[in-house]
Amino acid sequence: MMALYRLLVFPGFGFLFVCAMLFDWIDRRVIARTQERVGPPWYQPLADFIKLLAKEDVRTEGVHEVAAAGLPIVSLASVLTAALYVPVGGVAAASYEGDLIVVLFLLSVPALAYFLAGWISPGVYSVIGGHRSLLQYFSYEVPFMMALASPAVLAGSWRIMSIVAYQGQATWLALIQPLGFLLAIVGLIGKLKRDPLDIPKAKSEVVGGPLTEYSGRKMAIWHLAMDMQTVVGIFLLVNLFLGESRFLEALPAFPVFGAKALAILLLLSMASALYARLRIDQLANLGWRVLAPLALLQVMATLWVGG
Amino acid sequence: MGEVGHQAALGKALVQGLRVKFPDVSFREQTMPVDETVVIMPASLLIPAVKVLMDDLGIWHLSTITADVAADSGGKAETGELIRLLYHFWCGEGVTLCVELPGLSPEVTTLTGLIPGAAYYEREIYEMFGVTFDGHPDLRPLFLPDDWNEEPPMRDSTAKAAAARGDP
Amino acid sequence: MSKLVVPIGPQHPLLKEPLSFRLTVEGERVTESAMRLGYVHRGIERLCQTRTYVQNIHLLERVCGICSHVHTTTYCRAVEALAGLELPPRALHLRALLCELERIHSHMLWLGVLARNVGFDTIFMYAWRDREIVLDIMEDLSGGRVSHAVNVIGGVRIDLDDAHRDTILQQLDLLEDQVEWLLGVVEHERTLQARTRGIGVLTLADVRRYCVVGPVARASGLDIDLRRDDRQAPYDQMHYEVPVHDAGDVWARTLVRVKEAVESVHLCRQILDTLPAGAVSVRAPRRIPAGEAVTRSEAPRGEVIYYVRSDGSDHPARVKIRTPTLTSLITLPDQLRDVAMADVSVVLSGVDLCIACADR
Repeated sequence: MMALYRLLVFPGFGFLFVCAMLFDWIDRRVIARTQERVGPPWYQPLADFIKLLAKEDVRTEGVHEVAAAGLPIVSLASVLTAALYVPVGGVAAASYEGDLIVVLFLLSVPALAYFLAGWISPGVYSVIGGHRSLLQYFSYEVPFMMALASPAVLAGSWRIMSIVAYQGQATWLALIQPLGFLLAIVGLIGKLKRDPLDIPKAKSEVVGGPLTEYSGRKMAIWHLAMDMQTVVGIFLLVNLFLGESRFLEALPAFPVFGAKALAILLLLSMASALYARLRIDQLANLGWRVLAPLALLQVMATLWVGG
Repeated sequence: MGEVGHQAALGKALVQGLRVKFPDVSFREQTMPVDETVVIMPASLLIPAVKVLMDDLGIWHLSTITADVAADSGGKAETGELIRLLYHFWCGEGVTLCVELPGLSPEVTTLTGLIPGAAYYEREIYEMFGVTFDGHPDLRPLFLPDDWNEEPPMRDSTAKAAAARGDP
Repeated sequence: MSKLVVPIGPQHPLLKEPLSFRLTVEGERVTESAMRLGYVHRGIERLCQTRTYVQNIHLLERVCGICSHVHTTTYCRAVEALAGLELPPRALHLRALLCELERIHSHMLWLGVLARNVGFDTIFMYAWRDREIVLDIMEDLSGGRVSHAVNVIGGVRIDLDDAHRDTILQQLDLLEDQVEWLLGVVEHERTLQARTRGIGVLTLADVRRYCVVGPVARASGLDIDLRRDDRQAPYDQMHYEVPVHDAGDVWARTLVRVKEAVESVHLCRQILDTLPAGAVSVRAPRRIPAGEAVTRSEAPRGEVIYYVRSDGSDHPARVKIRTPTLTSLITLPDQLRDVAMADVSVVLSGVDLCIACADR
């Protein structure tokens, strides 16, 4: 019974759904305020979701219907499964040694599904968007993985809960490994395909990217998967870099966790507002010439200090 | 008008240069508002005159090429209506070269050999007036739809036919 | 890498007006491009012959949405030259005021569009917020935000009193701060420069060959500006700079346009400070004497040239319009050669297309 509650309500699907809507709203509101606009009301993401569910589901000719329907569901499912192991305020649906690796693997699946969505579509924009998304994946994933591996190396465990507890003994890993934290943020922006790294779906270049031909219910699932991936990604970063702290032990865990998550969300929103979009070759350059060596540096420093 | 009167130095220099180079060709000189020197010449003199403009006087900016049906034509049966081509140049003052072509199958040498920027202007005149430009690298319609199969729209004959039909 | 043919247009999020490109793309590189114009061709030159001179002012304002005033100004100057009218200086000042305001509006709009197309929504929002100041000024002056209908043959139909003039001067102060801030951003913001530097380069030789005009030409080092070169009143009494850059890329065009907007604010102030008293129009005859006239003006995108021929009646016999966008369009096949797919949007934004102008 408890397991069902954990899966469906907290910290499972229900809680994640509410968080996805909330984070999307905060993101859009913050960006709007930096642009001197008002921004959408609180129910906007929910209204968008419901509206998309009600829209016509256009069937594209030449696309395998089961694959086209299955990809967004696979995307959503992998994000939800990853969320099981990411603790929220110290509470996770399940936790065991090595769950960090499982989470990282599961969070890579949406990127693959996104690429496949472009690959199976006959439209030109989808194909180009798919190519770009794969190139982008290779540019950010390696630094991202290495940046997220460093906390595990330092804490001596691949279990997220242990890494959080380790920070309770020492201090936030964002302070011990600032380089890793920065790389993780940049990697997360790439993973979530947010501005300035929304290259695969750059509206003025490839119209909608891999999802150009999608609409209706399938699009609603895609959007939900991407919003939830934002939430899970931010939660993961909070756990790995802004975990427990001796100084904040007195305060209740859940609001503190929420505040940290919102802080990271704020960082992401400001990055969206403040920069122009990169070109794919500029991102590849950045990824392999700057980010990957820095990530390697971070890992080696961690090994040398910790080992 | 409030505008400073120009000395039309370049126009005078052009006429001078043309008279020296081609003494046995007749051409007329006029001025047009606003302070534009017009030199009317036979079509065969067009390319040499442009060369004089570009090489001797350093004028290379072609504003546009206007095509127009000549005011007092339409009655001559052997040539049909006359088409006038006006080549407007600009270099601190305006100089226009004007050639007249017979309306039945008007053709003239292209200017794109000297000034590549003339390409689109000539294409537009080709589709609107039916003037052929010899040597144009890409003479095809610019603005009209691909399935346009009527007469060139700007000719008077087309306009009269349209009026007879009751079209605007 | 397989070859794909990517259609840009006639409908595309990048384009504000219909224009068709077929780009052959290998991977991310464009190898060939084919352009098709004419989607907004309305046959305006032909329509002008079926309307009176006064009706044509209404028609020619609708050649373009953004540079509507400069079109009617150039047309009216040609007709006034044919009719031998001498305009009162107050009319010329007011016409120039609106021309400059339109220039600022056009450049702010363009900056927003460029920013949006490189994924920099924030600058888009800021530029369009500042554009609202200009639109408010124009609306107070003429009653319309974008389509002003200010020109009549013989002058203008609007006037200002001192209180109104002071209000406009205050709004110009605010506008100047905003535009100078945007200039600072364009000069220093690195991600914008990373996307626009070195893209769509046109050398001075290219610009001369294709007879390019306007900010695109000035960004490649060609120092031309009809306001200054033609010594048109009232510009011959004003002090202003014509920004010229020599890089020839999209970033140079951005700099030139934003600097031009700053200079236009200064010009507006000078026009208002030196506004002479007097009438704002003279009576124009209904039938214009026979003759032909050529007039040129500096529109926001460059030189616009009008040729008007009259046969003595109240309908013009021929009106020929050449808009500056056509000179930029001819350079596009060169600019799009061997360019990255992502740079297509930058190149197309950089030439400031106004397809309605080009197609007429």
